[in-house]
Amino acid sequence: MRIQPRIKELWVIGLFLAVCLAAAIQTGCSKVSPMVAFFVYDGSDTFISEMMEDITARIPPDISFVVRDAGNSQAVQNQQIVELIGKSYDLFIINAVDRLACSSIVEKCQKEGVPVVFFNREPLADALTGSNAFYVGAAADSLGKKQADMAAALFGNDFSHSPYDKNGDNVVQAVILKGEQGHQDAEKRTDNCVSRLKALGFSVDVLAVESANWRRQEAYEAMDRLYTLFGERIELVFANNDDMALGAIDYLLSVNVFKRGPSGVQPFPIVGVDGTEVGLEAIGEGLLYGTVNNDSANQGEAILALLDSIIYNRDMNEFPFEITNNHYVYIDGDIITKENLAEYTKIAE
Amino acid sequence: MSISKRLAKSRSVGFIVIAASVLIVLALVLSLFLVTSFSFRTGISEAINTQTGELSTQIVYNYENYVSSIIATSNFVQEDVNLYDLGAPDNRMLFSGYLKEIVHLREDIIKISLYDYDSRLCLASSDDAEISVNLSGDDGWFYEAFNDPTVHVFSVPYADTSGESYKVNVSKLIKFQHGDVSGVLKIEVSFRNYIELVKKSNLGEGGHITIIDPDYEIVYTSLPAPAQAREEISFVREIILGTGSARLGGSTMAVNVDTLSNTKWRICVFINIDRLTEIERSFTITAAIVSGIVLIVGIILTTAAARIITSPLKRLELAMRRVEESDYFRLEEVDIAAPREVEALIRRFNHMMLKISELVERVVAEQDAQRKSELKALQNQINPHFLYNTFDSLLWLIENERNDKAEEMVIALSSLFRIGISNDSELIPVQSEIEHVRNYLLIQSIRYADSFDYSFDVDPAALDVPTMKLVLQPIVENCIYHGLKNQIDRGHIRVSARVEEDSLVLQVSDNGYGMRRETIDGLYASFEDGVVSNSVGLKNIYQRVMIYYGRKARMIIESEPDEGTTITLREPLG
Repeated sequence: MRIQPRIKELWVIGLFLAVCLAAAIQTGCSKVSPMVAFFVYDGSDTFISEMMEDITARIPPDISFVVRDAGNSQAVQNQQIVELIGKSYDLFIINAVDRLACSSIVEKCQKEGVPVVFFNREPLADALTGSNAFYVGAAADSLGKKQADMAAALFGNDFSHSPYDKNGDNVVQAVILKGEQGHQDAEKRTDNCVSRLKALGFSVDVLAVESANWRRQEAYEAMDRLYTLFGERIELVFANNDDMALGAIDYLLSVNVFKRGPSGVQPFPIVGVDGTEVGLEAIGEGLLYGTVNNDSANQGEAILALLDSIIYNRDMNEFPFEITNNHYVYIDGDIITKENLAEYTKIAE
Repeated sequence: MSISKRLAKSRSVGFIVIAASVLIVLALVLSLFLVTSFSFRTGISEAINTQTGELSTQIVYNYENYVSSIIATSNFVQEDVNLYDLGAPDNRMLFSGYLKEIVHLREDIIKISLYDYDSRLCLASSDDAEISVNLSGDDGWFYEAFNDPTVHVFSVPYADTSGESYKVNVSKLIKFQHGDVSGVLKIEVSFRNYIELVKKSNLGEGGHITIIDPDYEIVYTSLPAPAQAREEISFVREIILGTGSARLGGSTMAVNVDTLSNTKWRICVFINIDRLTEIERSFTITAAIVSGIVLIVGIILTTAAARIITSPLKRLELAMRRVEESDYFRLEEVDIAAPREVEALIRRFNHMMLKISELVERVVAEQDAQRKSELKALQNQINPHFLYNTFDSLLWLIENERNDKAEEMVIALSSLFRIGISNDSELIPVQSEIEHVRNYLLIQSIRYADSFDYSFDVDPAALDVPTMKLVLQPIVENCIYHGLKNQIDRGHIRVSARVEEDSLVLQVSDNGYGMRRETIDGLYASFEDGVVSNSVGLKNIYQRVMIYYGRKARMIIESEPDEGTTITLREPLG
């Protein structure tokens, strides 16, 4: 007689547990840890994939995360965002494929109450609204300016008497290897390196602006065209990134304009941006004159700091990075040439 | 009280069986229905999402290919325009020829023109261009290009005077003259081919696309009635990005909202999914009907099953009621055709009925025997021999003028008959029974000329205890005839009554011949042989006592040859 009600109780408990389990499966109610989703525009981009590796390695262990690769299609990225937006993620960190899609993404995320941090591809000025939308990226203007600063330092105060003014006309004949047309970094670096060099008192003649889509191979082909066209007239090459600078170097080595060797003196300097491992190696070999460190480690640091602030709802006044216009965190870079190369190779190792 | 007991309380077996089965069938059918319709609905909505997504993605890809080819053209022009010094008329001619060639190669590009910072036209792919004409204020493409130097601005499609519909102006702030001069590049493009392509996509009846800008203003819609497009915008505002479905214009539409690359616009692809919802509805109806049928069949089957169990029980109950209601007992046999358990019950019932009828028969037989033996006892009182002998003794007393003795005898005789005749009850107090025996002994002692004497030993506590009447007299008579009658010595009969524990003990002892063991055993055996005794002796008493009291009563015969016999009768009290 005592047994029977107990059995009944067991049934009730069992039923209750089953309902609980179903509910848990249904809603994912067992939300034990905060969840973060990363969306990258293209996993085959070395810069992005290295940056993602660096960031994901440093995410606190109590935060779970997923990484989605859009394969360079905004349509795919939209689907990925829509798929995860209803699944109680606490933060989306997005490297958009198309900068112009950001305003729609921000609108969607804010309707669903998901904070969003963009990186690498800067949303248009009016896209970031509300309190929980941020951008972390390189200070593109500053990176371009530092390229110019580097060249200016090399050329000295009197360009016409330096060995770099090969035709002696006191005008810098420059070629620019531009990144992806329409990419804000490409446009800003291109604009700023030229305007800064002019501002520093140099006369600049931009022989050509060739887009090589950030890629080494395309830069190789671009340099082939440009060198065939301008040849000896080229006195300076600004590349929007190291990969394109290396592509150009590849070509110039192949036609023996650039030479490997202990002297390390080339007919004209090439300046890159990024400070990738191969870029630093090329500086060491004297092929690449210098680069501006596009500090992905520091950008990653800023992204992680934002992640921490947003997930744990911390006071933004104590945020360790400067926030411009309430939404933008710009990370500046450092000039790296052969002189200070050792510091950075050590870090890289 | 346990729940099962409470539930079972005053509910028919049929009800319980049907209720349980219906609940089980109901739960099963319901859960099956829910699971299948849930998975079907999920499948359908997944199919809709996939279909809408795929179609929309296809349209977006087409658009992206289209737009990126325009942007690639723009990029070519931007790079190349840097190489020329447009100040020289020769270069201008050359470059304008270059632009003409591009326009010639790309049938969708209508015109490429380059404006300087002051909105003066510098160059164009067509000769009719009016150089140095300032733009009017409503040419947004020019001013918007300055908002962000990194972005191509796409204007809202419009129809121009030549009848070309879906013309779009693509403008971009560029640098030329070796990066020294800023200006705006304008490419006039026809989106007609793209629109034709979109129209070929199978969007179903009423399916269409609508392109909106960030403020949800309609940039383009393939709907013939733009009023309806505005109606759907509120729905698009809810979705923002991704897929959903809604009732629009009388049909169910799935919509996918996607961004259009290189613009801030979004494309909303509406696909008619009436057919899919129709399938879903017919599935739901079919599933509901099938579930209903299963439920009804289940109820019918369980009702039948319950009836198989309950109908024999009902017949059993009916039979029992007939037995209960009839005034006299009648053997009822119930037809046996039922499930095993019920069949066993019915068989038990039939056995019980048989047993009862046997018992009833026995009771009837025993009552019969009782009546007979009582009658014998009574008959014995008016035994003509006894009367004749008594009257003979009286006569003798009167002749010898022993009137006092005669008087005593007459009183004893009348008293003897009074007790014997009073037939109102089977039981009388021990006092009356002793009185009866005393009268009898008085008559017999006078008749047998005081050849024996007698004594009584009655415990006063036993006087009012009831006993079966006329049990002592036959025993005493037995003593006189068989134990004393021919004895030379003066015989003695002793009658005693007392209460011992839970029994009334009546005892008659004589000092006559006594009996041998075998004789006693023979007597005992004759008590149990089942033949109803016609004689008045011990057997008659034994049978009466057994019928009345059952096995609790005892009759013990103790005897020693030449010593005497004691017969003890133990009647249970209460």
